[in-house]
Amino acid sequence: MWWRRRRNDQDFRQEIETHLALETDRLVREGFDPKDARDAAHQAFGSVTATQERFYESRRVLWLDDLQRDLRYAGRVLYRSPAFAAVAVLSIALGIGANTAIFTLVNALLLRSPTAIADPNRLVDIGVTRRGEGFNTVSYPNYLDLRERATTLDGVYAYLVIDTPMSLGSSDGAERIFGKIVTTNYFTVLGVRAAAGRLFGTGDREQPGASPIVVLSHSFWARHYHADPAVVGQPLTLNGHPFTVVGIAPEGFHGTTVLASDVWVPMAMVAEAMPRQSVTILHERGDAWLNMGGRLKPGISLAVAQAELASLAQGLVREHPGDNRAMGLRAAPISVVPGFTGYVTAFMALLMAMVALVLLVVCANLAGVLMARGVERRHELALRLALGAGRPRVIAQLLTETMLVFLAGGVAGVAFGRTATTLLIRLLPLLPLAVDVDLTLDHRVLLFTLLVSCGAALVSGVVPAMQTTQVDVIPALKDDTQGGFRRSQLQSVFLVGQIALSLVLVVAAAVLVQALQRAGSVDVGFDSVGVELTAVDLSLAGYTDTTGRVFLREMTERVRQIPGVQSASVAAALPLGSVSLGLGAWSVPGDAPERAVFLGGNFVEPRYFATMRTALVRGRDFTEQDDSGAPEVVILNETAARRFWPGDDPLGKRITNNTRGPGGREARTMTVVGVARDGKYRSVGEANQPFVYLPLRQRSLPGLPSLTLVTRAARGQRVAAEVRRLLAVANPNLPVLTSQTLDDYTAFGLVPLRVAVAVSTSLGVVSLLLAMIGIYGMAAYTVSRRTREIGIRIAIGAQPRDVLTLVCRRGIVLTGIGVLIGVVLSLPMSRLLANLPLGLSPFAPSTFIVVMVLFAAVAMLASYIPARRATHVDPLIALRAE
Amino acid sequence: MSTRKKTSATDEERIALLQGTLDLLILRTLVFGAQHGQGIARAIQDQSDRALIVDHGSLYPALQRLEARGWIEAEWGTSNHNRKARFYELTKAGRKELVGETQQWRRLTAAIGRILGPAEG
Repeated sequence: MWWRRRRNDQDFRQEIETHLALETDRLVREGFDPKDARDAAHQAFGSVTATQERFYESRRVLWLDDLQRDLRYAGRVLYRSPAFAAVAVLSIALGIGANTAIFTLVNALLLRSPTAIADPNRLVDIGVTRRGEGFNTVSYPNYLDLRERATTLDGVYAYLVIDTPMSLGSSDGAERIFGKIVTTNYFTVLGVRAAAGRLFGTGDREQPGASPIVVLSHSFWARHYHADPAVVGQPLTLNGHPFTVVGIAPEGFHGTTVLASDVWVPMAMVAEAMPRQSVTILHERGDAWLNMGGRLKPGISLAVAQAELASLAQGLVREHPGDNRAMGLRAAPISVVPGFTGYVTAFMALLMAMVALVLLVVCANLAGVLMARGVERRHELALRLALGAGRPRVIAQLLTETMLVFLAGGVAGVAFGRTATTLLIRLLPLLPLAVDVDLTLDHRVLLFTLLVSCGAALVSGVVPAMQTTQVDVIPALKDDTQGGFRRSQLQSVFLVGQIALSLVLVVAAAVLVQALQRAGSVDVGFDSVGVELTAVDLSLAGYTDTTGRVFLREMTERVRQIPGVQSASVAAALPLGSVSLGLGAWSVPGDAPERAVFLGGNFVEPRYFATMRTALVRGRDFTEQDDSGAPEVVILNETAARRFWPGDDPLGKRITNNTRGPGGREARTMTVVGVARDGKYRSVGEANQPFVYLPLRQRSLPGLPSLTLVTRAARGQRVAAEVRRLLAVANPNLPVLTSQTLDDYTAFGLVPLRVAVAVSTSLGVVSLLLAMIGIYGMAAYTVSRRTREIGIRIAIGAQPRDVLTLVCRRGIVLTGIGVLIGVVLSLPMSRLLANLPLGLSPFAPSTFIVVMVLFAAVAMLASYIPARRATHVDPLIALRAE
Repeated sequence: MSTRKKTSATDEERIALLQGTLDLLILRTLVFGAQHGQGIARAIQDQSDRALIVDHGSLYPALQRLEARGWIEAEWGTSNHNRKARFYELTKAGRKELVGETQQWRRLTAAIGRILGPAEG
């Protein structure tokens, strides 16, 4: 039994002592004098030290001991070559740091289980498909039927995935908070326990208006109520309606998504929570606005639940063929981004692939360096082998050195990765919602980094270690510099591989940069510089359609008085954001109804076009007089004008709009008074769309999203704070939803591309630098190994040019091979990139040429410096040096 | 040296122990009861009429090995001359091992003896 073996040195030494004492005793009894007896006992025993050593070795785990020795030795070796250690650790830190940073994001978005939820592996998101496609929202009546009928699920809950801005009333003004509207079984199905009070439950009634209660999030409770438990049971005013706090959610809980809500409100209170909605939304089967989720019953697999949902969907389609046309249902494991998992996974895979590539470049680079060092150290290694060290022991020693460098690099990489993550986050524009993405370094991230470090160390360390220990002891000891042909070939392979991978990375970066440039150079039809947005939801402060209009008109006037403001207006939506308004069917009077086209559009106040600097190519802007009493007017964009009256002047023409308004279908006919320049409305990549502008003053706007004050200030001036102050003075109960620049607002759609560009360009630069170091190292190494040869050549009359060629040729040839392989690898990679949903197009051949020239320049520059040095070799010294 | 004179066999007649035989001798010695390291060394030397040299030091790694295999057990106790010593004792497994090894040893020596023929003189 192993623990019996656990004796310490002390015990063993004592046993030997006893032995010697007993033997001495015996000899004394036989008549020796004590001193002789002691000597004799020692002699009979033999070497005490040797015995102790054998005991020591029998007891110790030998490899651990070796490891300790190897580590100490490796530390000394690295300490003696600080330049190598510094460059190696730095490049590894970059490679591993990039991996850690991206993996932190992957972990937060795809791997981490949501906090404070019981058994999250049994939870599923349920989405609606149309003709088998998509993962969409569901209507409340359909949800109720599903909840009733599903037998494979232990409860089905529904919620509005985008948090609703609400106005929290208090004695000193309004505060904008975010609330999530959920069914009363939401917390029960998720298996959440209240931190204080209670959560919603089956006892809470679901009739509209019946349950004026809220649950507070833990962080909101701490922030707003200083975590006072007495708040449970207290009243609270949301959007001017009285609610009662029934409980506090557990710390860290924010449902299954990344959005962080401040409060949860039951579905029954939807009209109070979202003043622009009416309770009819709870009865409209065609109005899909809710996300669903459920918990699999014990023993039920996802596939079984999936099959049941499919048949339930068929039933719903049969019962309500109109509203539920082509509807299907799909269940998927819960995700923090329900419905977008595929997109997020593809994007993260792209980033992971890029950082993995850069790490491979780092490994190839270091492997090359290690090979070169192995040659430099062949004397030392040969000596160790000659003295009887086994080859495995020497390989272990070399690997320990590599491992030590990589672990040091990994530690530095974690720190660097933290910085990189912070920088990445800073790239994001201000989000219109509170998001809780946990980017802490948890065990998973640290384990990942450790495994990647060790794996990378093996990748770059094994081949050099095997190769450099294959020395012929005798010639190596005699310091013969020739030979090692195979080794230098291997070194070339590493360099070529490194250059090929670097090229792939640089090409990827170029593809992404081109896409971003294209997006940036697209004429979007407005000038965003200097424009600031202040979004308000007047319904939250109790304004009606009429009073809100008056208030905004006054506010716009006052904003125009702010010093520095050049122009101000109001719009219902802004281009290139998340909101787009469908304005129903449009047609020329007298046309057949099937010729009508559905158009997107916007409701704007006068001077919107001036504020956005969108040119009116024909006609006039809306005026103060285009209000509800005046004849109805419309402004079209160029594409819309061409579409209805090709080759004809649209001004003064009549156009009919069919919409589904609050009073059912209605048709309105209006006069075209202007034509605005084309622009981009939903995304910069779109083709020209027909688009219409309607005067805000001529329409009643039930169910519209918030309205936005649009201001243009003189260059470099910010007026948003002043606008907010004006609003707060005018009505302290009106919460401001968002306040940001138009640039930030429109940047939102480009976030993934911007992140990808930031990551890929920095990685491209790093790998290009590493390629440079690699080529430089190769050339410098050539010079140092062939100094004698160069000396001889110079002595017999070689010109500096010949020496330059001799030294540079290898690096340049290898670069050429690497570039060719890289180009071949890049072709499928660039097609792969084009398939990602980022709006990328495959790579233009001209850019390939640019990248190749770039690499050629790098190769020449990197080999030139050592080559210059070689031309200055003094033949006499060179010949003596060996 | 005075110790040498006390031995009954001359240097030439001493036999260096074959590999593995020390283990067998230790086990055999312990058949008569628990004994400490010095006692075992003495017993082997005395019982072989001092023909076998046991380098006392080499005894201990062997004891260590046997203990690790579970053939002997050890415990600190007091010797009959009132010194604290580590006493070794045969385990059940050790006894079985001894029986097996002894038989094998006898077969081996008998076979070698037959080949070499009757002893001269």
